[in-house]
Amino acid sequence: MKFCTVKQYFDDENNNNVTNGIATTVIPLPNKHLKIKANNKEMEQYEQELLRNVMPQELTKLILAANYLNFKEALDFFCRTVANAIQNKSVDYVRKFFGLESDFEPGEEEKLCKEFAWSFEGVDED
Amino acid sequence: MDYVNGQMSMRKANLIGDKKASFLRLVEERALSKEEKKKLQDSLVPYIPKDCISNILPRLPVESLQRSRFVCKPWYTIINSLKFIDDHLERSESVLIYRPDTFSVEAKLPQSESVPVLGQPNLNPTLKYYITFLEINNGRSKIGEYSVSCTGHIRAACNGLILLENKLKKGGFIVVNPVTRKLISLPMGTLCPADKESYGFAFCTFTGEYKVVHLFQDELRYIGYEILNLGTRVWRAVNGPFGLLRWLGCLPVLAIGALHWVPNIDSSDYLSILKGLGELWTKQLSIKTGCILDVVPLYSLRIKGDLVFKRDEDGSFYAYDFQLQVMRKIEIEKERLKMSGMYHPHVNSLISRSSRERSQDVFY
Repeated sequence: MKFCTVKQYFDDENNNNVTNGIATTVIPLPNKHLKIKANNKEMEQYEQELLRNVMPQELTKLILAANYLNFKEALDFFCRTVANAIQNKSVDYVRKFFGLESDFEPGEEEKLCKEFAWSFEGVDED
Repeated sequence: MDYVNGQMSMRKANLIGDKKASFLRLVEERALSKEEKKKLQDSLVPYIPKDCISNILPRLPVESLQRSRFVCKPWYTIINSLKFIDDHLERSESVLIYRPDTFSVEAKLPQSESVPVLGQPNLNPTLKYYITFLEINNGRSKIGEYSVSCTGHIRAACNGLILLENKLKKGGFIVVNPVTRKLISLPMGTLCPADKESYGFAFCTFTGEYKVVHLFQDELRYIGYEILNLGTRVWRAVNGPFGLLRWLGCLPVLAIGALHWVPNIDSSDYLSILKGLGELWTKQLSIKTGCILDVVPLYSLRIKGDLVFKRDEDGSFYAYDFQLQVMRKIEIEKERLKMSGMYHPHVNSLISRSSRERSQDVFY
């Protein structure tokens, strides 16, 4: 049941969503999960190992892959990691991370920033 | 003829050669541009669908969430949406809030300029306290402070909203969410001595409204009950069980959709509990407790389920982990914990006073 999407992925050759590098990271995860189901700490260690070689920017691709493959545990794990990576960072950093542009009108953004000025204290350096 | 043919064939050959060359060139160019395109695509961040964003955002701490509103308009809409706020509340772990003994004295009203109230000179400058919270996680604790000050005691807290006494001229109560800093003021209930009354604050899922419940004992020692809806801000009296309570010094506990008061704490093993919210009050329940530990339960962590206890002897905290079935002592910086008054369970959320009220500034 976890692999119906994977089968579809292999059948569907023109797939832009999941590149090869990403696939090799995501697909071994279900097996590992089954093997160390009971032991949370081991799973954590394995996850840390996995992520050591991954750039923060690649995380977004990992999320897309896990989403496309319908693989909930991996998706939750990658989302958790992204949340840790962007927490306490500035708004610009978050925009660059996700490749987003501000679509606020200049006046609107200023007004909002003034209203919530206190929420910009204590931000990490980029 | 041959020569001409030859020339022609040479020209043809040249032409063909040229065509081949240009064809080759075309193929090369296309290959290059594909490579460039691929490089560009690789460096571009892919578009994340909305439900993935909704999976990432609730995991952020509230301070980051406040800022994340300004990333772009869709994020602004998501974070302000009621569904998101509720989801975020579901995932947020409880903390303990309290009012510490150290306070800051506001220098805004120097003695000479203070306006006498009712003919009495204003003797005390306004004392403001900063609400502090204690987070407990895996045997460790973290103490943080909200930049929200209060002049009176914390009376109750529910879903991230705190009910505070307002000791300023107007009196009454303030309901504030220290994370969003939105607040509203409420009138006081029936006046009576502090040890003969108790306030409870809860969300009634039935009506989708926040309610404040006030139990008080009058001179004839009868118990009066009154309720205030946060929407209407008006107190109204309700009927409750007659003559059950002897002591109202304890705080009510919110569980299973109702507020529970413990009216009698005596040497017996039985705790009688008075339970109600709104117009319906059930009869008292009795449960048997085995008093082995000399610790008092304070609250349970809403997500993890650990039960947090306090030991009155030395003021230390313990947490019982149901999964590992072990009771752990919590490391706390003792100096920061000096306080008068009670601890209240609380949660950091983005809730505003009425769950039905939509935020006015939502961008589409």
